[in-house]
Amino acid sequence: MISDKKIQHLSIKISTTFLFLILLIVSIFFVYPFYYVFVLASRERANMFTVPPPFWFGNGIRQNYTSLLQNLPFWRNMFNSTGIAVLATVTTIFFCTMAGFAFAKYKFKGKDFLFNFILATLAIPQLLGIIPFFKMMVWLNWINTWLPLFVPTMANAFGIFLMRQYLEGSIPIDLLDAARIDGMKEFKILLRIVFPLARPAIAVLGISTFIGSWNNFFGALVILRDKNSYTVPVALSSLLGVHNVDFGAIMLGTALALIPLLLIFIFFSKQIIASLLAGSLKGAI
Amino acid sequence: MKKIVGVTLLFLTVFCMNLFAAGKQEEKTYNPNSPVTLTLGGYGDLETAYKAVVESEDFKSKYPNIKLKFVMNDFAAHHDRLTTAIAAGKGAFEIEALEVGYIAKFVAEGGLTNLAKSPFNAKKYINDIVKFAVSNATTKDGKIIAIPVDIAPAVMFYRKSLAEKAGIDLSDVKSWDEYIEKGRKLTTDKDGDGKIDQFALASPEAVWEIPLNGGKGGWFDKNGNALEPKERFIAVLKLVKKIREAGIDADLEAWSQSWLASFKTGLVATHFSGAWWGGALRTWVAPKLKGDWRVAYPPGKALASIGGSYLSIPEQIPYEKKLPAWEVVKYLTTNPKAQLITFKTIDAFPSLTTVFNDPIMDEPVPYFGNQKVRKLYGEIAMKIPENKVSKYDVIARDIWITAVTNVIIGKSSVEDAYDKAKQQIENRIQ
Repeated sequence: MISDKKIQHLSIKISTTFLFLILLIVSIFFVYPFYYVFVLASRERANMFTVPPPFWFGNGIRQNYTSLLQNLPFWRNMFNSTGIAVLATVTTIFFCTMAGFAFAKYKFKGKDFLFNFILATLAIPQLLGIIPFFKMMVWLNWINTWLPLFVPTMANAFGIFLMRQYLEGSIPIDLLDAARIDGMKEFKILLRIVFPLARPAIAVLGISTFIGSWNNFFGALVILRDKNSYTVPVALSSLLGVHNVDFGAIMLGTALALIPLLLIFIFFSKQIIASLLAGSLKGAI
Repeated sequence: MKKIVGVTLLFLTVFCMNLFAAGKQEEKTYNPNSPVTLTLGGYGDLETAYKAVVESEDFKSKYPNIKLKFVMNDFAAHHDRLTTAIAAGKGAFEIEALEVGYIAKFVAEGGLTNLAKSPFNAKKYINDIVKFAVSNATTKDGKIIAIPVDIAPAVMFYRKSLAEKAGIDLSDVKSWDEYIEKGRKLTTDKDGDGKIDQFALASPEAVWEIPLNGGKGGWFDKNGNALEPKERFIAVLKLVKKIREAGIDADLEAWSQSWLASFKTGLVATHFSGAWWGGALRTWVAPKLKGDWRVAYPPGKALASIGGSYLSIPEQIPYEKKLPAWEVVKYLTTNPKAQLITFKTIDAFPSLTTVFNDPIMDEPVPYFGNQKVRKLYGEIAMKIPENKVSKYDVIARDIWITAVTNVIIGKSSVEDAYDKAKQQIENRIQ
């Protein structure tokens, strides 16, 4: 006779196996496009468009790499992308946390109106603002510099909203009062108390900002004016010819540009999950 | 009194000097001794071709003080950037390339220098440029906003070996009906597994532009009515429907991996495109099929241009830079040497008709089994009819493409698709 415990154990095992199987199938759908980019990056253009499509790595990396460097200052473009994304991330985290903290914990005249006004800007399609934005950048003489690609978005509506929502529920007002009684200045409270406690939300904001900046195509396209100042997406797009497209070089460049994003996901996934859990637990308590 | 007369005379003198200076500026011509750096904004591989031109001895000796820089983006991105810069009134480069599909938009919306007026006087230099291409960049009131630098006469590319195996000749197809009939013979199950593995063409979508002269202009009649004459457009919808119903297309999405692969695996036997496609086949799409692809007139000797580039000078460019920019545009578009270098470098077919008589046009091309394809391209280019463009062409074209797709996939009947498209265009332009 099989005991109830064994049956229960067996059913848990079966359901776990089933769950893993489903997860495995679903994850294949998500992982495959990334895998395929790396497969194509390793193949020469002539061996790329085959039937059936290639599933395994080829031996064209060296040739694709040479072609990539012949056509683009690729590592310079990577440096530009990294520099802009890092600056955008650091400044966005700093200013959005500061603004979010003010909206969450301070009382001042017109606070609700100002917050709602900031939120309302989320409803305006970005594309509508591109011409005034471009005109302003020309007027400021910021064309072909990094500044337009991170300064205007340093304090953005999404970041302020995210930080405000998180800080409102996760930092007790008593803790801030205690710090004030101990003689801590407001800016020091922000640096010493708010930033460490807001780490999960900062991770989410940081990652979304970094990825957004890394993938920002149109902004970089209209602002940056030569190959040496291009970011990676704009640089790679310049390789798309009509008569002669070097897909090998483009795919290798795409694969290399994916690596920083994949690394960020791998290293910061814990922080993202922690942030999501913190949100769900807060609701449960 | 003396004081008043003195001040008045002083004002008059200054006023006259200003007038004189302004008049003088308009008269100013390009000064070859003053060094200048210009930037050409373009797309794709135009840089490769124009770089070769500016590095040639002829250009260097003619313009030793002009330095040309390039900023290239992909096709759509380049035009998006240019549209933004034109709308903002700032930030465009001294010379901007335009693809023919976008030309109507800029013809209508302005922002580009009228090259027909003094000091450019483009009409004096463009007599030898193919007429249909010039008319695409000419407004109703005679402004010329860009000069054609390359064109793409539409031809039918076909695989000779596959045609021979099917027992047909595709070098002179008299009508679309004949093409469909021959297409049925090309569509076969080669390995006998019950699945068709060779089709006549990739998709009927590749065909609709040909009977409409490439779809660059011609969307409205003289009175501004959309999609008129009706029979012309109905015939196109009937044609794509017939092709799909005949089962001779592989139903492949253009520029997808399987679409690109189909030209070298033998999945498709024919393709309709501009002459530039020959360069793509030769260099990277199907280089191993050297000697097997051939070129012919489209069925019924239909005349169309699919693709082509123009060079323009944005209005916002300072006057002193417009003059050297015009010299570069003039050189690239009207100098036979420049046109030939562009052709040899990236297979972009010249817009300058005097080049059509160059010995290179008579040379057999090994990739096309030593066929004299360039001569054929030139012959077609000379016959392509002129079509007036309108500022609503982009709208009409987008709506029309949806109508074509709906007919192909069986979502709409020919009449419904036409009526709906016509209605939509008229609603949008009101």
